[in-house]
Amino acid sequence: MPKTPVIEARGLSKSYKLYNNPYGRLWECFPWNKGKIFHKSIDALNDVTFDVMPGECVGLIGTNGAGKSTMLKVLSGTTFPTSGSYTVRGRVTSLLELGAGFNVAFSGRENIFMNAAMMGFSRKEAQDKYDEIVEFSELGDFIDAPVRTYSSGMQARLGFSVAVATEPDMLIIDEILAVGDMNFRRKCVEKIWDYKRRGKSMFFCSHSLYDVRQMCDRVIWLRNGRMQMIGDSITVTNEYATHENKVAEGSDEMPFQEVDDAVQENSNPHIVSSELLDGDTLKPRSTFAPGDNAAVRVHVKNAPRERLTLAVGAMRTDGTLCFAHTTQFSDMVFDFEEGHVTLHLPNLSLLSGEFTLPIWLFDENGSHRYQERPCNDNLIVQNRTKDLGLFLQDHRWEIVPSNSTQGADQ
Amino acid sequence: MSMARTHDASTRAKSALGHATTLSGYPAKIWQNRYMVQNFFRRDLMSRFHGSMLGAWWMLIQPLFMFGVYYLVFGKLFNRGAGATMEYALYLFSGIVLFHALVEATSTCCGIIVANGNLVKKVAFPSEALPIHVGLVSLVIYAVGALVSIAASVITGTWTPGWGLLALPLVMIVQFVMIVGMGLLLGNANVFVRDVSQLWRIFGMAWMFLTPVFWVPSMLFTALGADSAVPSIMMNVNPAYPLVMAQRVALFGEHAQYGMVDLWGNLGIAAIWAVGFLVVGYTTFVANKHKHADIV
Repeated sequence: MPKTPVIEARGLSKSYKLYNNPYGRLWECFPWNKGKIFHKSIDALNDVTFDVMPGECVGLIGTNGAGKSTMLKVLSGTTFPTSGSYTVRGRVTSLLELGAGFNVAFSGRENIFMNAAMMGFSRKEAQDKYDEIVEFSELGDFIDAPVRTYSSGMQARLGFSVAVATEPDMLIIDEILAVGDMNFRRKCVEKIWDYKRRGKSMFFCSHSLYDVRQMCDRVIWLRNGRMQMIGDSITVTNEYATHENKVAEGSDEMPFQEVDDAVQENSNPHIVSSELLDGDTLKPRSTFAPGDNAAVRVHVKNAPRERLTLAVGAMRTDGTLCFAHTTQFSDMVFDFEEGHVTLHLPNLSLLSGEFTLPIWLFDENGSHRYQERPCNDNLIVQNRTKDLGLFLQDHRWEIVPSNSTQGADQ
Repeated sequence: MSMARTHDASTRAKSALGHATTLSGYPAKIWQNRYMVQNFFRRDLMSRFHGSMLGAWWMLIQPLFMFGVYYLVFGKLFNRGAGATMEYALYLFSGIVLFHALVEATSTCCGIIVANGNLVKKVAFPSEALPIHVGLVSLVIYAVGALVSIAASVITGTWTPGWGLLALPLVMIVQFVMIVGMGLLLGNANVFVRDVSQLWRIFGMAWMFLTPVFWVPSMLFTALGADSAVPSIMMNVNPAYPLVMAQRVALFGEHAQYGMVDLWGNLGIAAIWAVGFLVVGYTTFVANKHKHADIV
């Protein structure tokens, strides 16, 4: 039996009218102003059609102003398309505006019930979920204090806790949420992954192509409100990366901000430095030839002795990720307080080009990213052969004329 | 999957009549979201007295104090032949209580979409349910006032409430429907033209003097002449007129010298007004609701 899509979007378009003055809208209603136009139209979405099947995670990528936020708002039902139609089946929770309905004069407890009610809970459901929400939010006794006394982190934690307690059939996410402290952020990410593992549908919008690839089965690429491409996540993200000339690790804002965080808060696991070395002498070196031995050494500090994994990749300057290896896939988890992790790359098979070496510091599951930053040095490869392409593939030729009776392979 | 939400921009352009027919689904929608309405209701009531020492007692103290003031000022000082002191004070007070409830609730509804702009923009919820709790809170406040006036009437032995009291819930239902209808109408209009809420405040004051709150209908004839058409026009174009009168008859029985007659006639006319407002208000609201989030 064919499954019914969770979301069916057909020719969705949305245009915003910008009026020169607040009464433009009113003047346009008057019959004597018929035909006169007092506004500028901005097309935020233009004829977008797609389906999301149950259990599928669909990603949404695009540059700023491509219409991603509008798309999410339309799907979460806060704004409506100018033309086209959509059907959403099941309960949808969007993690767009956490705690939007909070009234700061009331206690956290009051706000939990209020927020739950606005999300369409019955009284019973809200009461059943209450303890879970409070526990997840880690607010403890503060739950009975007015929300205005909360820090912004506490408010966000409460908002997130309420939102994820809804047990939605479909989760709409705008970036993996980074709220609260490091530990809570990890809990958020875990929770989102948990939804995915339990086969819930997700609609996920992010600038981080890594996150999109990790989470999504399919990806929609929006460009100037139009659907530029839809397909499997690897293809679309690669196309996008090539087209937008982005580094595929490229969450625009987050990583470097995180670097600053990490430097300030030395208590969190972080990368101190990284360097590209000759694989044999272990001396710094940046220019290699195919077949040489290289190594990337990363200095990590991990004061709380968390269980960590580390990934190193190589990305061509056009944004193509050529390889990425993580200690996680080699079942290597480390929890030293300070030390070096070195990735040995014997017999380098990349061909000519310049490659940046992104480094990621993860938790043991590879889901929470403590830090991501490029290696201090770029890898430059210059090949001395005439081979073309990205890398040197092991190969062997075989030539067999079809009228031959004997095997020509020797 | 039980819940499905469909939105088709092409069907949204349906006629006003098409929107009006969905009115039959309005009560069901409210019922479905009763927990939300209940929470809004509780929050609204609580925020009125939040942090005050006397708390909910203020709901009783306010009308009691108000009654005292009206009794002294209008009943004793400025009573120019309107009737016996206590009777006039009761007449005045019962009118004021209802009219205040009506104007306060409609003014609140007028700004309710704009005031909850944050919610409207960011949370998908049935905003047409917003005037409901305002109407309910207004009924509670009115009910306390009505109890005060009944108590005052009984204690002073002025008027004896009769069977008409049984019609009071009906009066309140009509009042509620009128508030919701006007609230939807004004709330929607105010999104597009913000001046509506300011205008409504001014209008509310004028409206009070056009309604027999302070004056007794017979005063109009005295002032304008027995054959003047003005009083009947004022009666027929003012939805608050039959409502105020109907509730007085319900509370205190018929007293022709105060124009307090014909409970069912007045109530019927008020009900027609109320339903009319609901139809017009609901229709304009749902036809324009999709624009709210983009404008607020």
